Amino acid sequence: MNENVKKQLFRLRKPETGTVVALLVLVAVFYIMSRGLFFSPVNLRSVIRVAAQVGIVTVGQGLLMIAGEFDLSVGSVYGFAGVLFIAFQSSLNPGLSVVLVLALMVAIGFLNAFFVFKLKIPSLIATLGGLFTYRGLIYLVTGGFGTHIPEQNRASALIRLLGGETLGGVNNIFIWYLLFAVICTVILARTRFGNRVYAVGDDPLSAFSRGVSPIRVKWVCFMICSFMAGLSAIATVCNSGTAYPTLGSELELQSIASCVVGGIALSGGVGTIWGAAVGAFFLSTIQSGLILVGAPPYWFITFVGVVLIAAVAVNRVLSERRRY
Amino acid sequence: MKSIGRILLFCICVVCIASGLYAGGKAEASKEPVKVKYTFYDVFWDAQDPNLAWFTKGAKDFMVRFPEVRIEVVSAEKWGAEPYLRVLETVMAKKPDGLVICVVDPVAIEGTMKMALAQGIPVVQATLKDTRGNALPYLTYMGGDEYLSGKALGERLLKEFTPKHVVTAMEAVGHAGAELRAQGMGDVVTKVGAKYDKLMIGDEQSHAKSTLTAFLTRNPDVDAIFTTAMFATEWIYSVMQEMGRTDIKLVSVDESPLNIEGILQGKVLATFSQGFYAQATMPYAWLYYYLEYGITPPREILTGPIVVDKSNVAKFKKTALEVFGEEIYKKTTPW
Repeated sequence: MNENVKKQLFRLRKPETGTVVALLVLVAVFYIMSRGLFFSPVNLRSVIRVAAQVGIVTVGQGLLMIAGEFDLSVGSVYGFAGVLFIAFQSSLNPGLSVVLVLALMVAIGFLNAFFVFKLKIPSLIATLGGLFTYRGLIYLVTGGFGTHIPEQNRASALIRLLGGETLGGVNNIFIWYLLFAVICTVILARTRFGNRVYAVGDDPLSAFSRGVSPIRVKWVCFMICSFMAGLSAIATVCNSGTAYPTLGSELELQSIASCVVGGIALSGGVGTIWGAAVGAFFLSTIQSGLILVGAPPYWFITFVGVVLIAAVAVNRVLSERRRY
Repeated sequence: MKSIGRILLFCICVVCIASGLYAGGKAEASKEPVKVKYTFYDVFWDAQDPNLAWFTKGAKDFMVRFPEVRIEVVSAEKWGAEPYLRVLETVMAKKPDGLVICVVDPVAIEGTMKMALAQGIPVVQATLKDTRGNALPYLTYMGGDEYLSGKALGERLLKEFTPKHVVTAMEAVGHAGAELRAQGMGDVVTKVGAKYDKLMIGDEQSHAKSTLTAFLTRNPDVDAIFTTAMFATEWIYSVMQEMGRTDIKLVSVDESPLNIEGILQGKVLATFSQGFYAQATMPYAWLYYYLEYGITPPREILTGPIVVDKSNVAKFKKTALEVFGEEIYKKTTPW
């Protein structure tokens, strides 16, 4: 076989390619079964918006997972950022509120990493603790009530920029999602930091022996992960104008599932950000598509579970074939 | 004579001082807090539910009127049989004189409740009752009737128009009360030939909106939505707005600021009140009368449903303002 064709086939064996193909098949199936309703503007807008909200979080989670860790607190961090963003606006302008919330989210990422690397608590436990702690703080801040962006701020340019709509009714969250997915993809593929992320995720000891500090790299990834969760929450709240105490619940699992479906290995060192970004679309498509074809909404969770197991199995087979 | 006069003066002084001290002491004694005779625990179902405010306010008001009763309102951190059971077991360890519970799941809490009743602790069920009837000898049930609530809202819908397709949007799986509300609504609207669906939208706003968007896209004939969760009212209305479907009649639950303002602005057709304030004070009163005088309440005391719509919403707004305060009322109203 021609060498070039072999190379192309080898590339196609990448898990992300499989996710894209599966997504296209899924969209086609839902399109046919829903008699074209899947492509109705209102449904597409909804699919894109949810994919973008989960997707921005997934970008951060993906980076961290490639580095060999994961963050179970992102759902609560997301909710916490959303309610804080609104709470701060009672005394600050939206711009300052954004800066302050994002700074706090970076600090939360820093704290997560501190627990993991300085206190030697496994990331599963440290971030699980965060999941409960920040959810508890959400109730403390809101008192259990839904909160809303103050009326005088709803028309502010910044809030419209973050959560409004632009081209043909496409939500700006989608633009942010694309932007950050591209930035992180470039960082991973083209920069020294990106190489280090893969290196520490693949084999931390080997990376360390070559002068790369796994702790430092992972520490930065934890901070980026929380930052992205905060950013997604702010954009979501700017779009809806409200934040309820349940904001972001189970988002941690959706973001991890998106990463896995998108081809990122739980063991680290494998995967791409664009794959994870497609994974977020995959879940969002399943959610809407199932309802459009008349399946009960709780099938979503079942379906995600099945897809997740299938994705891991396919990824494992592909990676073994690539190895031999 | 002089000495007799001095002795008299001395005696008068002693009497004055003594009576002063006695009077002062008595006055002091009356200022002392009344000794707490009974401690009741009220175990609320979900710390995230703003309706908790009704119960904390009710307990506070009751303690002012009955200072010999101490009431602790505690809550599960979230909705569900297990979190509720955990709090219930903790409360049991404190040996309360009386207990007010919400039967989140009759089977899950049965063991703990049997233990409480065996220890002679009187237990009042509030808000949600044991749907199995007289399975356990609770003192009484005080609250709304979830089935009747759904039914009442269904009848209110029919008063407005004859719907073609009604959907009940539910946020929590396993919420026995929500299921009964949905059943009540379904029984009424299907009688007039309307198509009826239950839709699980979940409790996360983005997920809920996306689920409902897809459902309404598939079912453009939906002309009425009933939400069994007060939170979701706003999410549903925003989807209706986004889809240009504000013609859909929306009915909701509870007399929260969100729903009250929704009714006033014509976004929500109706909601129901199950008399939360009554549920938050009357169970303590019955526990007190039972322990103090041995008076046994009737097996069931219904505090609702009362349909709230444009005709009577002003009265409910006044009460909500008193319970939540103007600041929270405004803060929690998005429209």
